[in-house]
Amino acid sequence: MTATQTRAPEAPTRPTDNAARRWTTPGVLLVLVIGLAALPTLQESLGLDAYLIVFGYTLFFWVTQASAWNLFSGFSGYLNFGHAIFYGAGVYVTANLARESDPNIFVAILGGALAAAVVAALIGYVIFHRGLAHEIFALFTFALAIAIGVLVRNVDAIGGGGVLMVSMVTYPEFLGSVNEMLYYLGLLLAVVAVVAAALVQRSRLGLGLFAIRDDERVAETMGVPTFRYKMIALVLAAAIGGASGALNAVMISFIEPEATFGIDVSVMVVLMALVGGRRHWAGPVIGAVLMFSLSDRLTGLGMTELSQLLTGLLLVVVIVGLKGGIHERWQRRPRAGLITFLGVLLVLLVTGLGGGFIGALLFALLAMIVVLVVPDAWWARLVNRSREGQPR
Amino acid sequence: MKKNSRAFSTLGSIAALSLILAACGTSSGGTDGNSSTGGSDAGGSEDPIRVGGTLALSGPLAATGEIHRLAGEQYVEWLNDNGGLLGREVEWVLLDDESNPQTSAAAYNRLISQENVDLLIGPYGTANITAAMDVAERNEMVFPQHSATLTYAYDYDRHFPLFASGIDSSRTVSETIFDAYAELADEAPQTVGFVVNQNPATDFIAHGHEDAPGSVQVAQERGLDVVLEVDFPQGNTDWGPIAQRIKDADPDLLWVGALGGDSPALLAALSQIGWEPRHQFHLFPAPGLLLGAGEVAEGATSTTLYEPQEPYLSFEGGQDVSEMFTAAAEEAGLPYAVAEMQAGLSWATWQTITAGVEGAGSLDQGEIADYLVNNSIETVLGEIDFDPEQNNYYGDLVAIKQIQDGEFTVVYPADKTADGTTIN
Repeated sequence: MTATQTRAPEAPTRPTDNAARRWTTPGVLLVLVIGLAALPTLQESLGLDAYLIVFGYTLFFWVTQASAWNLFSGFSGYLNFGHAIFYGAGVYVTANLARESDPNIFVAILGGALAAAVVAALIGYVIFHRGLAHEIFALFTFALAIAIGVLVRNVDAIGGGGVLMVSMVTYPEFLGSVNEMLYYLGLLLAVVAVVAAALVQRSRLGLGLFAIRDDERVAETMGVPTFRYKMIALVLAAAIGGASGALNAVMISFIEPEATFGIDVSVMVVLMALVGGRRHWAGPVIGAVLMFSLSDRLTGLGMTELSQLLTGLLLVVVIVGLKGGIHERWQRRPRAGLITFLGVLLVLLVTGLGGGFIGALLFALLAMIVVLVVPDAWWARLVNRSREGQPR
Repeated sequence: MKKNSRAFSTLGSIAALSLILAACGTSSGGTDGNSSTGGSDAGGSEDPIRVGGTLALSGPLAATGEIHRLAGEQYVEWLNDNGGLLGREVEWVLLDDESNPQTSAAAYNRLISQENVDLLIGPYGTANITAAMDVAERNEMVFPQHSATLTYAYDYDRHFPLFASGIDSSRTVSETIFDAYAELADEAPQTVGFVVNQNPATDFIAHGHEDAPGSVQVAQERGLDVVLEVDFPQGNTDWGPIAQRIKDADPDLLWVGALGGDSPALLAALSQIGWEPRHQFHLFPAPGLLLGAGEVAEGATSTTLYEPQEPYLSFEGGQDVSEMFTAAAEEAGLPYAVAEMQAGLSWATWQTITAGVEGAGSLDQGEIADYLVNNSIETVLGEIDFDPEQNNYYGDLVAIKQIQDGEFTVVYPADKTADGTTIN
């Protein structure tokens, strides 16, 4: 199977339609990003909760990490169960810079990206050069994350004897308070991650990765430089994950190896991509928004344990009912999905029934999923009935 | 047909999920988290004063987190029964931090920016407290906390520590432990084996940090022979190999950097291989679980800052915490329904908030902090004078307690013991 066969079939369209459609998504996303960037400034005058800034940063963090993970693992099929290695490399760059004095956040982010990229290059070379199988890659990365956690705890030069603290970083004044700075830079990194994933998906590199996912041997015989493509994608994904980790060190401030290299980040990014869909750059974004909103609402309601239960339930629902993730299903009914999402969001925001913006966002996403899982036969019947009801 | 039934179940699951969430959202009436006001003689038409905090209600620190929850609830009830704060009822907005510092930091952000709490109280556990303290500092809020031990790291001027070990906690706590055993004179331990949880709190007291020596160094300074050093990860379940190493080293004093349920698990593993400690010290165990270990724990020592005995019962609120916590703990079915150090620390932290707000006469964070550093605070731990010259630390009030005849009793220093009880 060739790489091009993996894309969803598209209906023939006129050239002018194509041009318009090509710019619709970037245009909508640009407006969304501008709106999000304006949020801290407008938050007070709009009467919005200050918590939205904190929520926004954490959401951007997960969008970045899930998109970075998907850029390599989702596209190539090599499941990385040790993404925390790259995230942790970034965290520990900031933490170590903070041992001497308050580090500049931009230096920390660049350092984090570089450190994670170097680690990824080493791992990639060892694994891919030997041509080890997908399953071995998954096991290797899982075990390596645990091993690196133990190593960091026991090497004082890296782990500071178990605990490091990041109390403060330096950054330009115009970025505002620490929470605002985290929000702006978190948004920037999320945009970088999503744009990188989208560009890779549409490039020769992306087509090569899809071919590797479908059948690596066939891809090689078709002339896809599999080693080079895997290395490029893994290093790029790691650099983004590391940059985001370096920024997140400021948020968590208390750095210890178990929490950093533990399974939380590694598993969560996989789940987000699975739920949202691994075959498209938008999949992990949808997964991150849904899963983090769900977790946030339940935590806010004091139902942390139920949060884990419902997250598991949601995962089962999506795996069983939405094979390929939410995005893949959404492609079948984009208009209905979008109208449901925006409609429910609007109604909940206007009526206040969602209990605030985050709740409204969550319920709108869940309503959209309900529309997406309606069986095709039912859907066709519903659509036909509504058409029959229309005046001719 | 099969396809449709699968879709039905999927649809049903999502609908159920949505309904649960919607029901939760409605029933909470917009008030997130668990909130507690206890009894209510306080307040009138004014809104309650909201105190926000997290505790380890799940995860490896939950056994001790539950003690802090019960103690806090009892204090809030007592406070409201006695007029509340500034004549207003007090509401405790409590979130679960899952024993995880990252969750703790996120939760404090939520408490401040979404719940708009008026005051903060720290979580349980050094890691969680340290993570939460940064959030408090960024928001310039007063941050009283129960139990963090990384004293060298806390320079936030509005942080008020109740773990009364002085600013050099790794040295002072260590010195107190070995001073207590030195009372045994000729029978004092000559060799010591360290078995330490890698949690930052226990690790710091055992190993210290750069210029701050821990128990291992203090033992060596005192001429004791350190025959064993083993670290184990938090949540460890594999005690057999550690027990075997202890048996091989055969130390006079087994020094366990324990948290929660570490101690009984280790003692059970030691019993299975037939080794009994001659002297044993446990740093921060869940007290009920250590007592529950039975005969093998007899003679075990631990640190304390409050026990339900004199002189603590005569300190401000000493009797109240003992009676109210015991009643609540019995009702909740806690394995050890006695107010000891953890309950005492919790009570003292709430007493600090109360004193600060009542003393300042307002909820202004700067005024509360000023009052606390300029006045003595009466607590169940005794009188406390937060010293800004020492990052708000003050004297060392740590005492040593020992299980004697199946009950904890304070054995060191002499002025904290009942009827001259000594270590054995």
